[in-house]
Amino acid sequence: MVTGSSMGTDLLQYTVTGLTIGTIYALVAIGYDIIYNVTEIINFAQGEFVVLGGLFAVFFAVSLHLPIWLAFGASIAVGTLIGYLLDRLVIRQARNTTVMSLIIITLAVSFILKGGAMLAWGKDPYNLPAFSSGSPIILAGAAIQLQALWIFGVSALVVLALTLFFRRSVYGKAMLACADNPNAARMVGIPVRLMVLIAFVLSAAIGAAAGVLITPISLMEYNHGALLGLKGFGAAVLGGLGNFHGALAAGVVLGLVESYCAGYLSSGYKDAAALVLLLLVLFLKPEGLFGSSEAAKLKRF
Amino acid sequence: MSKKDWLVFLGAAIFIALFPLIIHPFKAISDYVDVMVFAGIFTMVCLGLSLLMGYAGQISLAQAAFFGIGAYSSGILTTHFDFNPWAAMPLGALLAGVVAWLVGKPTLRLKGHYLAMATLGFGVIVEIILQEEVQWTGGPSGMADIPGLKIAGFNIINETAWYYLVWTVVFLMILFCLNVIHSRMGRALKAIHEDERAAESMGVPTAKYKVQVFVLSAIFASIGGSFYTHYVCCLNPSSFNLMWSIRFLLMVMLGGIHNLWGAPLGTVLLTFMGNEWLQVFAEFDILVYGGILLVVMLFLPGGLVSLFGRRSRLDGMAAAPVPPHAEVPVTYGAEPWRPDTVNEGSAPILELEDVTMHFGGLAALISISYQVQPGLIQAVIGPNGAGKTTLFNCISGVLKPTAGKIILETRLINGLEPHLIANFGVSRTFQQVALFESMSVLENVMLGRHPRTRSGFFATGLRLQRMRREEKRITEEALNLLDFVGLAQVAHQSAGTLPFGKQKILEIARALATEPRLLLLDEPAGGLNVKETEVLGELIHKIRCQGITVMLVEHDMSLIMDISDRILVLNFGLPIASGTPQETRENPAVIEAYLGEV
Repeated sequence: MVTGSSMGTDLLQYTVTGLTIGTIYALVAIGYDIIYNVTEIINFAQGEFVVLGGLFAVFFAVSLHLPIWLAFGASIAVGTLIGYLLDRLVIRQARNTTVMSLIIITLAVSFILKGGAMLAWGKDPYNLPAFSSGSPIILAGAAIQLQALWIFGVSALVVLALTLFFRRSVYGKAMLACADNPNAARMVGIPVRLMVLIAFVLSAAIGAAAGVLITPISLMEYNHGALLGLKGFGAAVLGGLGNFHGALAAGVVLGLVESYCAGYLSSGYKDAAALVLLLLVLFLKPEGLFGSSEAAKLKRF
Repeated sequence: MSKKDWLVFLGAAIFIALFPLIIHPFKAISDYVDVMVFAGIFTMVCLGLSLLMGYAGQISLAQAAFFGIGAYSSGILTTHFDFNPWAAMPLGALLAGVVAWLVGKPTLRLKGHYLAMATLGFGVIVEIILQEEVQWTGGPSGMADIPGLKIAGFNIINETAWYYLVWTVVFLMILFCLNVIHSRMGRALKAIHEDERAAESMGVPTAKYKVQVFVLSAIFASIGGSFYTHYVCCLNPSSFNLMWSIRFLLMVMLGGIHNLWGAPLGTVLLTFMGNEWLQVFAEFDILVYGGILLVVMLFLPGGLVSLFGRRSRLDGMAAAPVPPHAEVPVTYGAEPWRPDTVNEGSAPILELEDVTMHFGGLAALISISYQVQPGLIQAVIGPNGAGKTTLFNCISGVLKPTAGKIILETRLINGLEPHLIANFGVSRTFQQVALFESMSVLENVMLGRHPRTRSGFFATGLRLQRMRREEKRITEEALNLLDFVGLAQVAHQSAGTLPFGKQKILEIARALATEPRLLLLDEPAGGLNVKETEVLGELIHKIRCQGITVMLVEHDMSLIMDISDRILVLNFGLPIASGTPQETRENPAVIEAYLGEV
């Protein structure tokens, strides 16, 4: 017998879950946005950054028994390193190529990273202790895990910092200029290569952070990258590629849709729900719910 | 098909035909026939992908999903509904084609690589459906006991029989694709790959063709899936997941996407790797495949076929040496130049009504109203940034004006796709030469015939007689046109190897091939020397004598004053003067715009 109040509680619980996972999608989306903003490449390896962030955090916190905040920092440092290597060893080798080739290249990298993760961690899912211990906050019958609060806090911080960085700092503006017209940017003295490097490093670091944040809630496994990446991309498109605030809003929308679908329709199809949404946006409003169609026309991707 | 293609086709066919006999004596590799059956099936999946990537420049990451649609359609129809396998196969192909159309139609209309992401998402959705719809697909454990294939009542059980059946189908598909490539459709696809904007302006419906190639690739993949089902007689969803889509992508990339033979080559190699040689890596093959893909992309972007032989553009150059430039006396055609013959009262060929174009806050064209009389040489001049090229882009459909009407004869054309406008009789050249450089001079002009010819994928793929007649006709027409502009002697050279001046002429010839009634020339004399400019002036005059109205944007004032009948002067998006060359020269507003306030 389903009572009215438990239906309300369910709804609230699904909403909390959706918000939590949606925020993670938003972080992944922001990773896409940063690289896209500077290079107009869609980095298919973005999901693997997230997976590696989570798995390295497990390595530091569980295997090496480091305190969780140190493991968090160390994982982001590793993510940074991976982003650096990806740019230096791969992207730079393929400068003079088409967007199609670059997409395939990032796909290849994602498979190498995935294979590497499987080699190192095997096929088991891994758990990570939450950032702060304590029982969940009960709000009108719905449980809010403390980890969710961490996710909200860190994400808000990231969005705020990035907005300031791209709007106010010389580096941020220079990075935007590179995306718009790399040749013109080079001519006015912007070191384009450095900007691309910064974009990959920043994007990998944010991806890794998202991975560490989500692992205590949903475990991490070597092959989670494709779906995380795809949903993150969905959020990026939904929010208007390159638009951070759009990504945040769209990530949350995607998370909620998925959570409600799992709760009310079918948990087997919950992943499909987000993807169907992605397809619908691509079909109906490719400039994104929050992007302007005029600006989208000027972009190459 | 070219002679070279026939030789390769014949060689490959003979090799495939003899392969089972060659390996027969070696017991250790007798299972290679089985591997080759799989390679053949996978080739069906990869051929369409090769066309899609190499010619339409688009990536599909759902090739395994279409393969799966074919496989499961055959599996479900034959086991649950007792269909004959041969009847189930076309139904699966039809389903795959329809689904591909639904996915491709909205995404391929957009510029860029949305298709990659859409197909990635779509592929995962198919994977989920295969896992979840247990009552039909068997879910994660898959299907078993699917009937095999029969021909004339005989079960095909023997591996060698399967081998010959599968590879016969593969060669038929290859033949179809080669026919398409060496036809007006193939030229259009190459043109799309090289310069989408120019292709569109020459009347090629780029979005439509991309969708058609995508649908074709899905149908081929689905047919491959049907054969797969009846060969292995059991299905498992893991054969149709993202990993397999990437494998198909890798097969095509490894072989090379700029030549159709890359697909079978890469597929055979990778199938042997997957089924035989890489078994030691077990599930870590993902690492190996990623590594191979990365190495190919970075160090061998043309794939393995690029190792065989040079690009054909150099052959063309050696075969047709450029003769010394002929001295051409400068006369403006047979007819003397008589602007007074123009009937001012006749209906304008082009009418602009308050045409306005904004880019964000910038107004490039402000409420331009003007009429172009038929049969004239109409110049559009003005300082840099006056909006001349923007005006051309609006007329040819590259840009959609923010407001106003553009009327070609009696038809409202603003907002139409460029290829439709080309169909209606407007053709153009570009400020920066936009030839299809890897295609020959002749092919460039033949591409220009696109809006005046009709054979589609079906007709060209099957080499119907209608198509062969059409091909012969446009070859002749293109040669005549090259003769008209004076490029006949370089017809078989690659367009990219022509000297700059001739490239500009060739671009005009390509535009003329579409049989325009209105020809837009955007700075035809830009970058030409005095001599070349004279030849150009003569050509423009000859074109006008054919009854074609010419509009040109130009900075070379002596050319403008020599050949134009009417001049429209723009400044900062506003029309400031119009009239005959004489009137324009003396107009104080024009003098001010060019020289500043005097």
